[in-house]
Amino acid sequence: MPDKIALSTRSLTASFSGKTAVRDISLDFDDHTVTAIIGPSGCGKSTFLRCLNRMHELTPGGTVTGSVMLDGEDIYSASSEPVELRKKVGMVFQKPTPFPTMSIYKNVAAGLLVADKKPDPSRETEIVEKALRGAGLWDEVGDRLKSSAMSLSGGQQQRLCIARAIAPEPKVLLLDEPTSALDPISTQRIEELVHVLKKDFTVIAVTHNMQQASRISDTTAFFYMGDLIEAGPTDLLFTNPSNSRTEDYITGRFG
Amino acid sequence: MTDPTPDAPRTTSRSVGGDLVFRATVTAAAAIVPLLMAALFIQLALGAWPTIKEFGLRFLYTSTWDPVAEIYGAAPMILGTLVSSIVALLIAIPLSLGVAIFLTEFAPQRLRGPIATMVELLAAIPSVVYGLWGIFVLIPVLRTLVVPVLSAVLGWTPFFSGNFQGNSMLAAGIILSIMILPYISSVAREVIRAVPDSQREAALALGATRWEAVWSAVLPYCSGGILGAIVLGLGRALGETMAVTMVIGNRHDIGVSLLEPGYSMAAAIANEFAEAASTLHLSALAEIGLVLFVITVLVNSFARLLVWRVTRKFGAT
Repeated sequence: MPDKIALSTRSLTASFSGKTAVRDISLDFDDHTVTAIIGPSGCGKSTFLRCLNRMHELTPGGTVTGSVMLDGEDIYSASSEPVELRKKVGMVFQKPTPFPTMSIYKNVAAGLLVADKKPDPSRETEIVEKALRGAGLWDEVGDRLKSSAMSLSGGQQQRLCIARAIAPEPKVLLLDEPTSALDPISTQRIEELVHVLKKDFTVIAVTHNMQQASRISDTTAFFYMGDLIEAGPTDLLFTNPSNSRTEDYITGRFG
Repeated sequence: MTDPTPDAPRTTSRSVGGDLVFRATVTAAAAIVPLLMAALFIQLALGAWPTIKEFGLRFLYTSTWDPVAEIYGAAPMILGTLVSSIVALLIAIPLSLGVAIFLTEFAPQRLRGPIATMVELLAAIPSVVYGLWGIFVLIPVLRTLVVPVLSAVLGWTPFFSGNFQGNSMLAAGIILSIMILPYISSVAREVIRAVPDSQREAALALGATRWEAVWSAVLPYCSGGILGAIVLGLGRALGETMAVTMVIGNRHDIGVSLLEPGYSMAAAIANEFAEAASTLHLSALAEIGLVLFVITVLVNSFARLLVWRVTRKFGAT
């Protein structure tokens, strides 16, 4: 369902202390779709993702040129505030990163606490429940919201992080290899969840797992050595890649 | 051992022999530490025995200290040690945590090393130098600039009432705070650094500012270790002798006002030991030493435990 564009990059180049990691990427992400970014380790896919919510520039030596358009504005323009942007572009990391000293409830609410429009308590409870339902976690933790986030399993912790990321209702959700630290069953639950999440969000997921990319995504982009080699509808890219390197990668000849 | 294979048997037997000697040496060296601790404790307890027998627990809560009449109560010293240490903590905690947070989270990379080294050099200044500085610099500054303001604003509370007499609890507390700052800040820096970057990133990705990330994610994550750093500083403050003796005023009374002189356990021992003639006086000083020893060992063990728990938990990940 390719309707309107949620996010697009133009000539995006990112480097670490002068060493280019991602080169001249121009890519559109359609609203309410899942885009998978695949490629071998070190191809710049995570760096690219971290440019989309301006996390890359926090890495020492990290610089970015080019533009990323969101809601008709360049997020790298001088007037754009990274702190505001990150409330519109949520992110979930490779390893689950719940705040260990906070309860399950507080973890989800943490996404709102830092969003300066702190809601009143009853509204907050609603938002937390909605976010936990959205992350498919409510049935498992709804009766123990006050227990520590560390009492959850790894897969539950990752879904808690998804709940935390969607609580402020961002427009775009970035997933950076969200299942690579998880067991197969937890992975499956997250993959199913991604299908649900795209109803409300535009999802961009980095994965090194090609089967996962083909299962969860509508569009796939293949990165190699910092370049975007090919992007297109997932079923097309996997059955009939137009570039020989894409074909080599998806057929397992390297990577 | 005829015709041994080229190297294996000979070198192993040689290195096993060497290992045994080396191992015995380092084991002995390591064993000396706990033995010394035990010996110290026993010696102090034996030395303190006459006053323990004579006064019992009254020694800890009465405040008459009269070597002529042979009556000893150490409450003013015990209280003075605790009060001056608490004043020191109140001043040193915000300062040293500020330094630690600045150095780990905000300082430009090339400033971090030099500033950290300078802070740690504070710990290398001899105690007696701090004492001199206290007498010649701190007390005059307190008298002309700080105390007039304190008296005007907080003079109505008992803690800042009365006349400032130079040597005082306040001066001792301030000197102590500078002396313990490097200890608290360097341990705090270690535990803050032990917080994984993923925690900072998780907070930042939610739209937190740097400061919010520190406050809501980093500090709660390592709060146990921070507490350990503070308690470690407390342990230092409790036992500090020279600088405190020089500025606390050495008065055997319990006063509430920080502007008045007081006394501390360590100062009492340092001042009176050379002059103590009677067995009971010596014994009283030994008992003060025993109390100080027990308090500082307990405080430091508690601090180490807290720091160890944090660095072990997060060092692994």
